[in-house]
Amino acid sequence: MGENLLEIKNLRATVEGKEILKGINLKVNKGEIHVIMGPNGAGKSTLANVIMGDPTYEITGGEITFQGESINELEVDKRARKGIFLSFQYPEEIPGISVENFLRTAKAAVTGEEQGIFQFRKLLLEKMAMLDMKEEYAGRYLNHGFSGGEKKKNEILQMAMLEPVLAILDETDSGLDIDAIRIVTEGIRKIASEENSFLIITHYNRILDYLDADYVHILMYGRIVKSGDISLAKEIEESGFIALEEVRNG
Amino acid sequence: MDILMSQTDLSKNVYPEKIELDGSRIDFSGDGLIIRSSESRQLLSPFLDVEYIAGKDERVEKIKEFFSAHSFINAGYHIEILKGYKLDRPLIINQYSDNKRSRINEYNSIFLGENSAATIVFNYNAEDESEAINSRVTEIRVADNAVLNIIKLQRGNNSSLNLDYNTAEVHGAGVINWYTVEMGSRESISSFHTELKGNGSSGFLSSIYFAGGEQDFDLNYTMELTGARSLGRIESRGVMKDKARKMFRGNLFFNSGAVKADGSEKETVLLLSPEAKTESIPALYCGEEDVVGEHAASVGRISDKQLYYLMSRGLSLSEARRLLVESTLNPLIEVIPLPEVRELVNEEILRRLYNE
Amino acid sequence: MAKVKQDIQEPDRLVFDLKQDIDYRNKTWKGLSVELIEEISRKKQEPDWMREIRLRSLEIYKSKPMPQWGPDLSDLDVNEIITYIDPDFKKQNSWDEVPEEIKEIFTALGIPKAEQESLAGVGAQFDSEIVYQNMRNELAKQGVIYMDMETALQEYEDIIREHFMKLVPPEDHKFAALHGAVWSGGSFVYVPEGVQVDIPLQSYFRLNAPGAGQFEHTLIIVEKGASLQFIEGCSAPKYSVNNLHAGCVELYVREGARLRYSTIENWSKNMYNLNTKRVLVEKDGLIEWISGSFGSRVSMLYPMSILKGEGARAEFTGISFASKNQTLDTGAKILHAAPGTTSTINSRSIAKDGGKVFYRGLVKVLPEAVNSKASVSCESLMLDSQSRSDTVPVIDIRNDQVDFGHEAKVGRISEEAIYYLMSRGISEEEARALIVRGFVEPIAKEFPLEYAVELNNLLKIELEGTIG
Repeated sequence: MGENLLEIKNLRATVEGKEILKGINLKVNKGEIHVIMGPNGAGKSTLANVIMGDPTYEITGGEITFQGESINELEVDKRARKGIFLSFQYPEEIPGISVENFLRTAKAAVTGEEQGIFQFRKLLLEKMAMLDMKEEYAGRYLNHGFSGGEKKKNEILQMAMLEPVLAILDETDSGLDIDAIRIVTEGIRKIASEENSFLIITHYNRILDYLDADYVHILMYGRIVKSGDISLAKEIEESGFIALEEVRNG
Repeated sequence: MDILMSQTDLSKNVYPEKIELDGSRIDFSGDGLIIRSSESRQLLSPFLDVEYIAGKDERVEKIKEFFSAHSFINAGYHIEILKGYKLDRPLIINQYSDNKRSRINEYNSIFLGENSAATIVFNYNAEDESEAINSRVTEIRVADNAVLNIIKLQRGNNSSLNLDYNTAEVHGAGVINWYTVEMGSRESISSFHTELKGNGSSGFLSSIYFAGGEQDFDLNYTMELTGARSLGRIESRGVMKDKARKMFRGNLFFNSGAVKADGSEKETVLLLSPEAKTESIPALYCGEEDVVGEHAASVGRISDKQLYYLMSRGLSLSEARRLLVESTLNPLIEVIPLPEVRELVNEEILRRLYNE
Repeated sequence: MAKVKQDIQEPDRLVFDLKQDIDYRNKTWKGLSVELIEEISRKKQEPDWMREIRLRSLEIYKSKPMPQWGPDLSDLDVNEIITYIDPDFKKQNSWDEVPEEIKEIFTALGIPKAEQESLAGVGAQFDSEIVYQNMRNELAKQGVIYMDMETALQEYEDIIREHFMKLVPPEDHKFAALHGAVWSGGSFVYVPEGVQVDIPLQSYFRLNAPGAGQFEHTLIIVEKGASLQFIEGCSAPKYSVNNLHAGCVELYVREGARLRYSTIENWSKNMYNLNTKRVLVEKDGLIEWISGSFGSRVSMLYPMSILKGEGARAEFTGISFASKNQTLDTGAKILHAAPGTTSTINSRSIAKDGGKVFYRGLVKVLPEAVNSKASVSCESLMLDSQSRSDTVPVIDIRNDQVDFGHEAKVGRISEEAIYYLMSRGISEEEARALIVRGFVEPIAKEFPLEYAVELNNLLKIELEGTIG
């Protein structure tokens, strides 16, 4: 088991005064793939965005430690520079900025190094080929007029380019057909190493057919109610989240 | 002229009993509702001092001038819905012009107290073809959490002039929904000015018109967003045929302090004749950064492809046209809260589409 | 129209504020009188008909009221404006002959360098008169004419007489009349039938004298099937007194011809920019307006396209950026006067630090303009709540065979978009700047390259300190 990367202790968070996360505990070590499952409204996206540092949410208790340091107060961009990446469930459309231009700026920000135009372009085209994306995407405006599937692929492209230490995928599989899921998961597998970790949020099992997850956590009512290995996902598939209902009271 | 409250039918007075006008006076009160005739009243309203914010609009000036020149009032009501009282059936005000009543000078003031609700219909019509000049002013105040639905049906005859000025203030989290349907009069100049003063107040203005013959409509809609998180929508849908002309002026103001306010205007016009003239000025005035504002307008005609498609399914040309006219107006007819008014509007459109 | 690849160095903002200390004593003519106008006309050795246009314009000017709409002009006293500055040298076609202090300014603005590298010809006006004009030989051989208006009036009197102030008559409005009375300088371009001028010509207008007016007249005729790219640049150093610019641009695009007219207006913030531009487009012709408004205290500018011939097209692409103490009242007017005509208006504006942007536009479709298409899109971005952004598009349609669409938006930079960009490691300041740049990008890419660079620099300067 690798060294600890992310540790969340008793995390509570609210949005507009309403408590969504009610004491989350989670440990992610280097080289691990964690899956978080749970019904709609359980707080999965909130957890992802609180780790990323979305200012809409307020942390009301607990601590998020990344690489041994508390990041509770850290701004979004600083977190990104530390190697946290979030693949958004609903990526923003930013007209007027091309994918290429945007990623070059982001890559420079994350690495702290100017990106030479030609080297960068070569790298970008490589990664796009890996994700089976057409070259023309590089010149299109960021997410502008993209289909749902195209947006998700674009998120994975960004992940491949920015090489995060911790990648959080928020429902990246939803809205994708089987072929696209295969391409996306292949991309994830290629990026995955002993040095980085994944936190994959989903409510389907589909994506698990293509990935070897180390841990599965069930998030319900703002808490992780159960953790286990991949067999837990199968259990959910068979009996649904309702079977875990008693945990709420227990 | 009469006033009646009815549940379902515009022509029948179900409840309370029809209140006959005794000469020039009518007074009614009960169940949280006060109605007083405006006739012979002094014009107490600040209306004549109102500086119309969209600049010196000559048309509005015209209504004002006309009103002050004929300062007698021979129609209209003061309607008050008391705090917490929700009118459970619409209040319908029918007004007809005829050869005896050819100069209508109407003044209405409508006040909704906190947490109250009402639906009020003004049904303007003509009994005969005699020329009338109808000049109207309506002032409205909606208090916190109150909801007012106000429907104005204008079906004056083709020799009349209709001048209609409306202004509303919405306080607190109050709501006003305007439904204006313009189909009558030779010339109609109407203006609806709504100021959303309260934080979280909202206003919706739906405008439907059908102009044919040589009718001339001048439609002025202003929504001023002043309160934080106020929500204002103007949506106009119209059909024009023959030599009709129409001017649409939509003004959306975002005043300083209207943070997180959200406003939009949308206009759709369907032209059925090459001689119809349509002019639009969908203006947006923004003095606050933290707002969302947009407007969109489209003018089009029935495309041959659409007609072909519908006719290939067995519809006659006139049926296909009717369907496309309905599809233009329906999105707004559907939201009119009273089914009998919806029906009436639909019938009237058909009548006008097929030249009466 | 083919875009020419150009490699131009980034200009420094400071050059716009370079002032040349020129001794203006005994050279400046102030105010408006019949005597002064006759004197200008005499000095320019004009034909009688031109003198008559000037005198008639003066009468019209006096009889017309100030505009009763739009920005406040009450601080502008035309009687205090220097109407004409008498240069004591002749126009040159070699930079070496241009007086040193004037050459220095144009060099700092990068004009001679651009001329060598990416332009087919250059005209440079300093205050009231053109001081330099030159064009590549191969164009002259094809019959292209590019010269200052004064010389054109001597050499091509008939053409000038037939077109001068015919599109923008002095009766049009008060400042068109003022222009007619005191116009001086500007360019005349004539592109003969079928000739393609693919490398742009550029006229640069520099107003150096404090309290002065610039009234240049631009007349361009692009004959049947010909094409031209024309760039107009303008700047002035900042003074504490008001300057006035009341130029006039008249463009004729003949059958099947194309004209791309680009302007970057970067007047200093003591300038009243009350400019009138108009084009007449004949059958299947195309006008493309590219317009950037950044400078001036007050601008009123609404280029108008008259689509007179069947199938004529107009495309307007504009950006305005108003900051402190600026009111930029701009827009576009399109008149569809023939069947099958097409127009597109795409406008973006930004307001900050109490600046005011106003989009004022008109699309009018006449009864005969059947099967026409028009689309208008206006977007504005508010960077703070001291600023204002107003949009008033007038749409006047007089037949039913028209395809018309309009949309407009106003708003601020979305917090969600900033969060998204920051989640990729970009700082907040940079994220905001990126979004602003993205906002103008669709417009910026239409500019000639050297101006696109200038636009970027202007944005950078304008955005500094306001963001973060």
